Amino acid sequence: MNNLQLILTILIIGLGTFLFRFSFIFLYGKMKLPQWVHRAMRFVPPAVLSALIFPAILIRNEALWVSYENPRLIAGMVAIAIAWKTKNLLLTIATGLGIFWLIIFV
Amino acid sequence: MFNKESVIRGVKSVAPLILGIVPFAMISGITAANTGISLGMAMLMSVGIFAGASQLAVLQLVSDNAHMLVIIYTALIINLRMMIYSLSIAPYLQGIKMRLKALLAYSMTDQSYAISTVHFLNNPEEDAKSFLLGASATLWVVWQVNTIIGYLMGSIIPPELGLDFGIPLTFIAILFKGVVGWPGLIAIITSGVVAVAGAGLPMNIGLVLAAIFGITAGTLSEVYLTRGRG
Repeated sequence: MNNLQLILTILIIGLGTFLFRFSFIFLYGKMKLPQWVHRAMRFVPPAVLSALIFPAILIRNEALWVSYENPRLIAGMVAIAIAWKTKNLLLTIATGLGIFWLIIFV
Repeated sequence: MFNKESVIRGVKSVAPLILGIVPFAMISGITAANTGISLGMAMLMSVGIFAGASQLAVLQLVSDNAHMLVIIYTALIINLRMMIYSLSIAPYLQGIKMRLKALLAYSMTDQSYAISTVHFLNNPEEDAKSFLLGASATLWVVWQVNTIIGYLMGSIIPPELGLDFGIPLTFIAILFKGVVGWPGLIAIITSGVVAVAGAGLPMNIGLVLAAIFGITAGTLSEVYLTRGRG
């Protein structure tokens, strides 16, 4: 791929991604959404975040890795427990990274 | 037109997440350097796309010599979830200039979206545009600066450091922020199970299915659990 093609690729992806982000912010008000849609939207953050988290800690090299030797799983589970108990963002991330590196390097 | 206190609240709300974002931004810089593209090209990507997971996929495919259309298609599929964010946050961003809507849309990330909508649910009086701007702009600056640092330090940082783990940790940190009781938990569990089960499916379908199942399970269980309580 030459530089021109790469620039074009990046610009098209950038434009498309922007249009995704802009889509309903732009359209809203021009159309009426039923009440149940608003109700359902409250579940978007937990559902999407969960869908991003669990494959990231459970799947490695395209295979399920459920084992105490999986550092992402162990550190991730501890982080989930801390997030649940304390709701403290910094503590959750710091502990998660700390345990992760501890397992990898010790 | 912006409420200063709201902007600052937005900045503060995402500040703790920087610890997880920095390593991931550095990875994106390091990977760009290793792919052999120029710093200028890396920054065009980082500013022009501004969506980490898709940027890493693009770099991977570029180094695999994939066809341009495949690269575009893959990146857009990964970023499709932004449309749900757009739908979900749209009600809070009405009555403002179109230019500002566009700016807020462009700079919205997984983290600034999730933190902000949850905050707006709990604080209906908040000046939404100011709060979201504070949250998104903070992450934008952190992302760009650390992409450059990663690019320049590329060869010094060993890959076995597993810096990519920072991002799922930021998601974990904010996971329970907005959870609404049992229905929220049911949404999380349903979505997580479907995402893992569907991880092998092509075109990121697993993620989309997981979100749909999770949102549906949460909504239905809420309707069921509150039935009869008026």
